Amino acid sequence: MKRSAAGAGLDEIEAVYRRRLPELRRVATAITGSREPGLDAVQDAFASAVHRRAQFRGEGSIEGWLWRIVVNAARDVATGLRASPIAQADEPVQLPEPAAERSEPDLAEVQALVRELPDRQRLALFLHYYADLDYATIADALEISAGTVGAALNQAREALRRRLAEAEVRT
Amino acid sequence: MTEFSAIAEVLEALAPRVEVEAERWDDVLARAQQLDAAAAADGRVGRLHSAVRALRRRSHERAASRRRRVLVLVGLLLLGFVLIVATAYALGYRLIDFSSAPPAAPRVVERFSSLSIGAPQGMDPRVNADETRLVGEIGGHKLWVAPTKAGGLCYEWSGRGGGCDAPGTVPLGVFGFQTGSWGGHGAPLSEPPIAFQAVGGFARWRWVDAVEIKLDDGSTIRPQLIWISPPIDAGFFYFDAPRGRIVASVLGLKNGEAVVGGQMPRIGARQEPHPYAELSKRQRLAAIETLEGTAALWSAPTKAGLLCTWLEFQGEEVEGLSCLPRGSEHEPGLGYAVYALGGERILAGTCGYSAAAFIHRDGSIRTVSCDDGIVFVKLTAADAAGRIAGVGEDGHVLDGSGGPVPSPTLRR
Repeated sequence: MKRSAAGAGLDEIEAVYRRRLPELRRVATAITGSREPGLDAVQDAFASAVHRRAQFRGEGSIEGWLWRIVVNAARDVATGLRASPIAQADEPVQLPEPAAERSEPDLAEVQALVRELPDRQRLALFLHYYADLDYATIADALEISAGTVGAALNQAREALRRRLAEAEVRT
Repeated sequence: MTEFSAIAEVLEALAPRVEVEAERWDDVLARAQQLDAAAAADGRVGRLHSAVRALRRRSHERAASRRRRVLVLVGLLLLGFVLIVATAYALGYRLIDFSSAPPAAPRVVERFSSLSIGAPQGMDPRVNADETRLVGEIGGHKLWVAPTKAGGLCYEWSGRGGGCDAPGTVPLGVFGFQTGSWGGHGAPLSEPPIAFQAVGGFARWRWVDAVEIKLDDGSTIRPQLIWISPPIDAGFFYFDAPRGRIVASVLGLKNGEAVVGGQMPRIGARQEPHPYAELSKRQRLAAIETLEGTAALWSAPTKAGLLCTWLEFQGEEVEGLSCLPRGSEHEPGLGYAVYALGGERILAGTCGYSAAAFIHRDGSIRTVSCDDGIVFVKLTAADAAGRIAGVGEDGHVLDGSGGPVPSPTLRR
């Protein structure tokens, strides 16, 4: 869905949302490490896209632009879930944060394994695996070149294979 | 990890496929409307600023013209200029009219409401959750703010958490954020020092008119403060450090002079809770002797009119208790913590009553006086197992004004 004119149409944004929602949610869940915050990040990201749709410059695909907003929103949430309060109000009260939902014993190991990957490799892997995006759209989403996407994916797979092998040796 | 033999299995475990999920496009549009409304409210304030700037520009031109003609008018025009500059100075920040900001979505209101649910006695911020509003985006994060019944505020950044200054007496509230790996809230002291790559918070105009952030390479930044009108009456800021840099300190300035703030806390490192207290004017408020040395409570004023109180043991500072506006120590309320120092349990904190009462499990009561708004006392075993409460002017114990005596937060 390449465009030459600036600005994204509301109907185009809605079409991507409706067509891609399961994949969007999976990617956001993978990035945030938890399902509910991931779903919330997708909603927030699309709200932001609707709000800023006039700012879409038509330099890439609308879908790539929307993926970029979702990835950034999910990363913000993931960062926030790891945020730490410091010297602040007199009577500090920490607002409740969504709790991680899954509790399988090996999930933490899986998360750690994937989280060890550099950002670019990890995000490229998520977009490729969960959303089956082509290299051009991943490149749009991550604001890198398509060639870099290929290299990042190869490096991610290789690193994961190596770490999985190491983990198996340890067990 | 033997069950994860392939990358696909790892990724499936990380974000399992869910077959049936409801779409929520209406919710997307509702959230977008909130953003539109917040931007519109911000835009109205922006137009006000433009008008002020235009007025100032025109006044410059008029002043230059009239100075050439009538000398007598120069003084008047200069006076006008000064007034306009003063106005522009006051308005020279981004301002948000709280009453025009869009109300928060129900899920956000619910989160603010939950602050009072199950809050320990004395810790309920008594937030007016129904008045929560989305005041805009700062640093790419949506900011919701609500007033409290006591004149303070509670706030939350999207994806960043938040906090409260329930009584509205905190000159500079700072929140640190990490973008790298992190051990979690309440990490033990043996954890490596925490480094913060981003900070956010709020300042109150009465004490602080600018914020200065210092990075570990010595560079300083003054983030834009977004001032929110009463009943919030505070300026918010957010700053992401450049890649590879961490935040070293956050200072609150008044008229260009640092008046409050300090080093960013690092777990396991010594804190400096009162770097702008005038130590030459410090006073020892009270002391308790232990087998291993003296525990003493000190206070000193700051140039901004705050009164800082801290605890020392064996001549070394161990904890800052508060840096609050003078007079606020007499506001009804109890704020306290217990420290295990030199084999003794010592309770220290603020006390806005004439006395504090320890209500023992057997029903007996021990009363200790609160001098200068401070409670500082060596606990007995019965005290430690009981509750604490304020004592009213008529001598009645105000049960509910305090709560259970907590376990020690710090041991030396």
